Amino acid sequence: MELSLLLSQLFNGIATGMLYVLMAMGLTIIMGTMGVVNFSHGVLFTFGAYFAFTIAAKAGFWAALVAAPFVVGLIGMVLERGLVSRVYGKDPLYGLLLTFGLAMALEEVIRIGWGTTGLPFSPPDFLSGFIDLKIMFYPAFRLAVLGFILLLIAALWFFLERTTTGKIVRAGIQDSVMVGILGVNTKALFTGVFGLGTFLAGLAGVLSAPMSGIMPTMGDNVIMPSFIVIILGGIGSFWGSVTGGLMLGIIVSLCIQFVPAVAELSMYLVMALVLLVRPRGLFGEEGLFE
Amino acid sequence: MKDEKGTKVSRRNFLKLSGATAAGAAGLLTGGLSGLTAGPREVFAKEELKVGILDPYSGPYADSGREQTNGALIAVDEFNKKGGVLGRLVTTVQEDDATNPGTSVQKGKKLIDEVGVKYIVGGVSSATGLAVSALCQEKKVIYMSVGCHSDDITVGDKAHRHTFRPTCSNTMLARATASYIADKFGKKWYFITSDYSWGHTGRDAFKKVLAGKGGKIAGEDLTPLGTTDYSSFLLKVRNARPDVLIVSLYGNDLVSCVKQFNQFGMRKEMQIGGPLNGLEMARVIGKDSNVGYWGMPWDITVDTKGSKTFTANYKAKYGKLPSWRAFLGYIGMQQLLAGIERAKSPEVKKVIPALEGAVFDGLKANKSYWREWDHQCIQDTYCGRAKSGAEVKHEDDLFEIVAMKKGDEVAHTRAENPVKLEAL
Amino acid sequence: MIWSKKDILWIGAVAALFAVLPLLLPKIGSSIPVGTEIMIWGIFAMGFNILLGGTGILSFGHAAFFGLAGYATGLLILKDRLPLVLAIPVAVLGAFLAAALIGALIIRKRGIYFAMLTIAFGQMFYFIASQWNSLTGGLDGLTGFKRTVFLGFDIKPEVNFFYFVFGFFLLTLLFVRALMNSSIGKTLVAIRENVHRAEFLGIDVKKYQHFAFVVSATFSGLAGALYALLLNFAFPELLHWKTSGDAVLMSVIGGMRAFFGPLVGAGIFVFLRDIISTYTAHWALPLGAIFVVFVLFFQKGILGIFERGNGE
Repeated sequence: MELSLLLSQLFNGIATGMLYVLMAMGLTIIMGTMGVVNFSHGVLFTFGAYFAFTIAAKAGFWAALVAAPFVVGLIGMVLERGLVSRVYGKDPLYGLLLTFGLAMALEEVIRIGWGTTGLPFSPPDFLSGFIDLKIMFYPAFRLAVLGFILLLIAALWFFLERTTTGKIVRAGIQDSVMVGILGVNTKALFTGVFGLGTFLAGLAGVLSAPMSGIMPTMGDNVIMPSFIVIILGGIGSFWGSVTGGLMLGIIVSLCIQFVPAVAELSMYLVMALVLLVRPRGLFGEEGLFE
Repeated sequence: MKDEKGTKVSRRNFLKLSGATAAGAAGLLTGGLSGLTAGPREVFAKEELKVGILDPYSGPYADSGREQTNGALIAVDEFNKKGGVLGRLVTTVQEDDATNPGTSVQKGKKLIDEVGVKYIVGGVSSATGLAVSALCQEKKVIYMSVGCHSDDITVGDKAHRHTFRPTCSNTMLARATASYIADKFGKKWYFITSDYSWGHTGRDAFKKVLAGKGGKIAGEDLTPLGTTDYSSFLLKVRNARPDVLIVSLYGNDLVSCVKQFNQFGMRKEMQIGGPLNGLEMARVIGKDSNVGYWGMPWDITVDTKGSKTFTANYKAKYGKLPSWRAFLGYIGMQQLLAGIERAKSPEVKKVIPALEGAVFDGLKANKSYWREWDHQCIQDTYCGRAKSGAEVKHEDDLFEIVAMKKGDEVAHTRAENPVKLEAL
Repeated sequence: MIWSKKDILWIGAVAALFAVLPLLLPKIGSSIPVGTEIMIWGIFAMGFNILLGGTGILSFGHAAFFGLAGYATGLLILKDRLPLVLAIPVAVLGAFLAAALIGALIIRKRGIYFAMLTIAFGQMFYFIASQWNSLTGGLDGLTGFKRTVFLGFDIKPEVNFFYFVFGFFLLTLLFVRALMNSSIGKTLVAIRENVHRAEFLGIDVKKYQHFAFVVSATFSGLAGALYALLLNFAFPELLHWKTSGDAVLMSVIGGMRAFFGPLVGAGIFVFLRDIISTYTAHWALPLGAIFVVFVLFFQKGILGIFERGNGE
C-alpha cells in the first residue's frame, strides 16, 4: 500500500477529527462544570448550520460564520436559565433525560422552521476549489476549517490558561462548589459556560454545512462520536478533547481504509473498552461520575 | 400511608383509578376526535375511492418523495376532472415513510388497517419498497412500487403478485448506461455502493455489463445509507486510479458524494456515473459541480407530445419543472386508476388481471406495457449526461439524454428471472 | 399472598378494558393493531421500569434485547424452520442470555458510565444488524416470514393476534406486580432509595441490580418477538438507542413510581404517534416538550400527579 495513501488518510482523519474536537470541547466544559450530559448538543450543532443558511442567504458566508454561533450560544443560555439549571445538584441522569427530551423537541422545531428536506450550502467561492498537497488534492475549504479550528483551540487554551475568567471556568470544572464558596457568581458562570459550549456546537455546525450539506438529522451523526471523544479523552479535560477527537478521526479513517465494515462499530467498541477498563479516559479525573 | 388490607377505596386509589381511566379515556378521546373528523369522509365513503400514497417526506430521499407525490396528484386531478373512476371521486391519504423500511411498514399498516385503502402508490427507497411489497401481498392490497429500482422488486422470491413496478429496474438502467460509459471512458471501474438492496443490485447490474465487455474492477466500498462524508472513500478511489467511478447512491448521499468528488479535484482524473441521478439532486449539487453519466427513467427533454403536456401541466400546478420522480408518480397513479376503470370494478382480484399485459402510452417514443409474469413496466430507458457551467441555459437545464434503449432490449429475460408470482 | 385484593381488582379492570378494545377501536377511527401495539410497548415499558423505576438504574440499551428477540423470532420461523410455539421462547431466551452476559460485564459501573455503556452495546448490535446483510437483510430489514399458527390457533388475523398478545400482556402485569410485591422487589426499591445503606445492611447490591437488568431485558425481548410478529418484519431501528429512549419516555411520562405508569405512557406514546401524525408530521415536538416538563416538574409522571402529597 502506498505511503501517500496512508498519509492522506491520516491527514484526512485529523481534519475530520478537528470537528469532533470542537464538539467535544463544548460538551466537556458543560459536563465538567455542571455535571450535565448535554444530549441536545447535536441539535444545537444542527441549529448552527440552519442559522448559517438563513443568515448567509441575506448577508453572505462570513456574516453567517460570525453570527450563527452567537445565536446558538444565546439559545443555549436561554435554555440553561429556563430549563437546564433546574437539574443542577440532582442525579446526573436527570440532566441526560432533560436534554434528551429537549433534543427531540428542538429537532422538530427545525423541521417546522426550515422544512424536512435538505438545504444546499456552499463554501465561499475562493475556498471552493482544491489544493495540490503532493500526496493528494485536498479541498481548500477543509484545509481552511482545519487551520481555523487549530487557531480556535489555541485561542481557547489562551482563554482558559491566561485570562481570569478562563481560570475561573477551569476552577469551576475542577470544583464548582468551591468556586461558589470563594465568592464567584456561580449562576453567571454556569450560564456562561453553557453558552460557550453551545456556541462551539453551533460553530461546528456552520463549518460542517458546506462539507456535508444541511439536513434536520445531521446532528445524529455527530452526537455519539462527540460523547465517545470525551469519554476517550476524559470528561472535563481540554487536552483530552483534543487528543480524543484526533484519535477518533484517525481511527475511523484508517478503518475505512483497511476494514470498512467495522468503521462505525469500531467507535462503539472503543467507547465500551474505555468505559470498562478506564472510565476516566486518557486525561480525565478519577471518580468524577461514579 | 400504605394500606394493603383496607377494603375501602382510599382517596389515593380512587385518584389512581381515575388517572388510569382518564389516560385511557384521553386515548380513546383523541382516537375519537380523529373518528369525528373522519366523519364527513365516512358519510361519503361509498362515493369516494381512497388511494393511499406512501412516500418519503423526511430522511435522505425526502426531495424525491415530494416530487413523486406531486406527480401522482396530477393523475388524480386528471381523473377527477372527468368525474373520477367508475363514477367515484378519487381521494388520497398521504403518509411519510421517512425513507425507512420500519416506518414504511407501520404507515402501510395504518393505511390498510385504519384507513382501509385497497391500493398503495409510492415508494422511493427500495428497502421500503420491498417491505411494503411483502405487507401488501399479505394483506391483499395492490402496491404500485412507483420509484423503487432495485431488481428484487420484480425478480426472484421477493417479487409478489400484488406489486407492480412503474419504473425501470436497475438492470434496465445499467444496460442503458453502462455500455455507453464503458465504450467512451474506459473499463477499469471503482464502485461506491449504498449498503442496501437498491445499491447492491445497481452495482451488480453495472458489474455484469462491465464483465461482458471484459472490464476490470479497481476496487469497491459499501457506505451506509445517510453517509455524509465520503472523503476517506474518495481517497481510496483516487489511489486505485480507475477510469470511472460508479456510485450507486441516491438522494442526499449522492449529492454529498458528487460535491466532494468535485472538491477533491477528481473530476480531472476520472469520469463518474451510476444507476440514477435527477433534477432534484442536480439542483442541490449545483450547476458548477454537476457531472457524470446516469441512468434516468425519463427527462423533460424527452420529445413526445405526452411528455410536453405532462411537463406543462406540472409547471402550471407547481410552478417548477418536473423531475422524473414526478413523471413516475404520475404514471404509477394513472395506471392504477386506468386499471380499475378497465376492470370495471375496484376489487383487487379484478384489477390485477386488468393491468397484466396492458399496453399504454407511457409518454415516451415507444409504448410501455405491463409484463404479466413479473409486473415490470417495460419502457424506454435513458442514459443522461449531467450538464454544467456555461452549457446550462436555464436553472433546470441540467441533463441531456445521450442514449436510449427500448425496454425489451434491456429488461430481464424469462431465462434471467425465474420469478413465479403467487396465485390470486 | 403474592397479589393483594387491590392488585387483582386493578389488573382485572385494566384487563377488562383491553379485552373490549378490539370492539371500541375501529368505532373511533383507529384500528385493532394499534391496540396490539399499545400492549406490546406496555410489556416493553413495564418490564423496563423494573430497572428504571424499581431499581433506579437508567439504561439506554434495552432496545438491543427488543430487537435481538425480534430478529431471532423472524429468523427462526423463516422458511418454517421452527414452529412459533418454540420460536418465541427461544428468541426470548436469547435476549435473556445476552442480557445476562452483557449485564455481568457492565453492572459494576454506575450512573452515567453505565448508561453510556448500554448505549455502546446497543449501537454495536445496531451496526451488526445493519451490515450483516446475508443474515439480517441489513438496512432492508428481514422479510419473508409471517405469523401463522400457534399451537393450532390461527393468529394471522389482526383480532386473533390481539388476543394472543393479550395473553402475554396479562402474564406480564401479573408477574411484574408479583415481583415488586415480593421481597426481591422490596430489596430493589431499597437499593434504589439508598445504595450505601443497602450495602451496609449486607445486601449483595450488584447481584440484585444484575437480576433487575436481566429480568427487564427479558421482557424487552418478549415485546420484541411480538412486535416482529405484529409487523411480520424486523429492521435495524428496533435496536437503536432512540428506540430504547422510547421506553424511557413512556416510563417517565406515565410515571416511574406507579405500577401502571409505563402502560399509560405507552398508550399516550402510541396514540400521539398514530393519531396526531395524521394531522401533523411534527408530533415529536409536543411529545418532547411533555417529556421535558415531566422530567423537570412531575418526576412521578402522569399517575404521580394524582399521587402527589401522598407519597409511596
